[in-house]
Amino acid sequence: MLTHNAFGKLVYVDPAGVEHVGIVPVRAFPFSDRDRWISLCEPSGRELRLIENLTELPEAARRTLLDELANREFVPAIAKVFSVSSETEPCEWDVETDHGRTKFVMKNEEDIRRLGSHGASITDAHGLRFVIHDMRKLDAHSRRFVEWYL
Amino acid sequence: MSDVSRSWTQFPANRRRQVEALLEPGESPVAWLETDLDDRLHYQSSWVVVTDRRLVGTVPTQPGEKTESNDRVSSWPLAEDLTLVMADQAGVGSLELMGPTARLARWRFTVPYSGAAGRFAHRFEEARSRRLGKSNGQSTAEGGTVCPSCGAILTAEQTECPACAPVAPNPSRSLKRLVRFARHRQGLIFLGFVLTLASTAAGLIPPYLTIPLLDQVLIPLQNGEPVQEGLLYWYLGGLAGAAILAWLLSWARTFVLAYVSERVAGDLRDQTYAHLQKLSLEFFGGKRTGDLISRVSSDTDRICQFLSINLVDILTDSLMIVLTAAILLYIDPFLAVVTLVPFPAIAWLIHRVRAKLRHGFARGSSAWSNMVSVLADTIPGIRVVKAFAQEQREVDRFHTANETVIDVNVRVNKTWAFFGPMVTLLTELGLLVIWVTGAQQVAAGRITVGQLTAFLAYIVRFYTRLESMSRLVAAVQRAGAATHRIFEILDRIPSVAEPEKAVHPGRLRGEIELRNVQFRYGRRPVIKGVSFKVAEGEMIGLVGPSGAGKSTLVNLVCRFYDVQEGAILADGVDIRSFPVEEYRRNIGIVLQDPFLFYGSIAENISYGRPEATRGDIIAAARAAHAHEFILRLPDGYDSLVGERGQSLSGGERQRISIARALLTDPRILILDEATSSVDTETEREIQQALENLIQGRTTIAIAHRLSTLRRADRLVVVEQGQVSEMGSHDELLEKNGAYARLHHAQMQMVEKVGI
Repeated sequence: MLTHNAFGKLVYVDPAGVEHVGIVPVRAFPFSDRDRWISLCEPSGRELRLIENLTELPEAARRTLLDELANREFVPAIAKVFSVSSETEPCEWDVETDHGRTKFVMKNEEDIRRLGSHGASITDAHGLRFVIHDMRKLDAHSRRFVEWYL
Repeated sequence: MSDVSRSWTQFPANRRRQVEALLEPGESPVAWLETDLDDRLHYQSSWVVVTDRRLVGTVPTQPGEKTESNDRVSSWPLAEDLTLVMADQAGVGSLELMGPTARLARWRFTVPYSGAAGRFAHRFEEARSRRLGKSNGQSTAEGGTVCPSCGAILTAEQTECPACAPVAPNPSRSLKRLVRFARHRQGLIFLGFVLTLASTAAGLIPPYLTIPLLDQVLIPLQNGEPVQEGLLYWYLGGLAGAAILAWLLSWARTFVLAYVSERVAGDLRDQTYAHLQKLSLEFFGGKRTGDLISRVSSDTDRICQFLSINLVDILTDSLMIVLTAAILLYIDPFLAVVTLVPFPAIAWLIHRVRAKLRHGFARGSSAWSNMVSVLADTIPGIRVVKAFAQEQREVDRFHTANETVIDVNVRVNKTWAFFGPMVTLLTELGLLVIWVTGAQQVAAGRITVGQLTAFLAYIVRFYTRLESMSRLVAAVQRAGAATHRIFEILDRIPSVAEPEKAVHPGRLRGEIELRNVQFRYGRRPVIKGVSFKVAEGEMIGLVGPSGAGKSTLVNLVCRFYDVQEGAILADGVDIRSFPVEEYRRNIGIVLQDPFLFYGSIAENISYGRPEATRGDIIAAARAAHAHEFILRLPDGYDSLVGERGQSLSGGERQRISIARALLTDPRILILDEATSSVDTETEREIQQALENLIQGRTTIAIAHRLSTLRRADRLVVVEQGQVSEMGSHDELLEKNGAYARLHHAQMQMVEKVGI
């Protein structure tokens, strides 16, 4: 039902047997309900199917879908903050994420905000979003920088 | 060739060597690309190079393979069926190498690298054409310079890279930057400084006079020794004279410095507002209205207070401390040293608290403007709040913002509260030390009672000054925070930059060309390569589904934003070469929701041309079919409109804005049609008004009305940020493509709903 073709595109075969190539999966609730309500859309944006729950799908299709979703989302989770270049914005953050170590520039204090009760989200100067799932799990040194703003 | 070799040297040395080691004899590199992500989206750089024969680049390592300093590299000979495809999603771009049957390789990168990736793909195409013998010998020159941090190409006019964000300078420099503003008031400031010096010095005379007064007059009198009477009066007279002199001087000083600080703060306000006007739409989208208003008004006010009151105090106090210390050392060095010892401890405390207080006050300022923003948000939108019965929710929202303000201020005050009494304690201890040591010195005969008294008089003044100085610390922090917030605005580079070598457009003919325009909001690409030409006097209609990018194109033509790639030309010249104001004067805009300023209708109509005569205004209103209804209003053309004034219907406001555009007589007209319908009578009036407006002007209309679509010389169908079809209404209907579909759908709706 859901596979990747040789060109790396996601292919969806609908119940009528029609093959759609280059499908774009979209999470309808990326923050509040990540594993449910995933929409399969054509490149033009028209929705082909709304999957209410991932468990509806057979194992292989589910894995393919999750793979593709992971490939499309790039929201690095910050595990550690090494340093922040200055106390006023714009400032450069040097961080370790689940995608490796990198630096980004935070333009102003409004780009960092709380996410849920213990999380935080930082948007960098290029619009890329970095997330901290749970501030309590950070080491003291890193937590200091984040709490400075929140 | 020199172009290539220059950029080749910018490729990191170790990679260059790696590639050069792989090259066959006679093979030479054409272009390179380094990216910041690997195939698994980890922050590892990968690279790809195109030579005149092949494409060479990194590929993912297989699981189990160890990677050392050498990346795993693969190469593909340039062939007909080999293509490089660029794709973009969620802030991650990719360059995919497609073979005939499968994807061969992929290089991924974050947004800042997409410009460079696009250019690399282009060079790849050229190299491939050349290899296959199909080249036409042309190679696109890379004009301008390259931004060193992100690789985006900067045109000759851009001095700062629009894609990178500069990192903040040292914050304490904010206050020193005020000096720049003060510079052209420096005459008065110098006078103020001289007066300060004089008045401080005058204030230090009395204690010094007590030395002889005590030692030579009063103590001998107490001891019953004879004393010249004249001496007593002489010293007392001196004391009185010094007091009067000090009073006169400090009065003059206060007046002068207060005047100067009002001026400087006023200059700051003016410049900040002027700069705010130059900043692009995206700055206003980000910062909320309440925050901006707060900065221009209350932050500058705080700075003014700081300059007129606190700065003067700081100056006076510093001078007094220096002069006092000098006098003390002159009287008795040992005692002076003992006295001044606590001073460093206090200075250290002040220093430590400085950062905490400044941060606290910045947070306070922020929290306050956040709260004001809630007000600015909900009060104008009160109709929506009530319609959806969300009053309680808004009250709660305000309460939360309010609580944050209180929390932050309480936290700051805690620090501040600790600070003051601590300084007092240290002062008292300091005085005690003096008494003890002083008594010893007098007993040992090293100083006289008079000298000790003078000492104490100076020290008491000294310490009170120190105490009030510590209070000033908080004021300095507040002013520092306020100054930083003001300079944040002044430092903002208008992202629509003025050109360095301006070309003056004068009155344009009205020919417009879009050349491969690309634009993104943040990381969302909105316009993905649009090219078309509009001839002088031609009317084109932009059509397409909502969100396709029509309004964005219009914003780009008006230069509210600058394109990120490609160019927009007017009369064959890139619009970025024109001074922004001169270019915009050639454009008239009629928007969907016309904004009328608080003023009379006449003032609103003549907004673009304030020097217009009343005759001109009436003529414009007549042509806009607005004249009749304006006359029906109680105050006619002098009726006040805008937020607090006369309320007008949508159709009436439309026509006033058409009149406004007519009056400026622009060569280029931008029309953003209202989608909502009005009654047929008004509809006809508006149509006729628009017809008058469009005559002979180059018009770009975001068209919805059938009449407009038919009237347009050409229609440009925009879908998902690209042009999908172009032609006249009839041509496109015949084609039976995207436009035909849109058209039929709209017709069906019109029939069904009976609009």
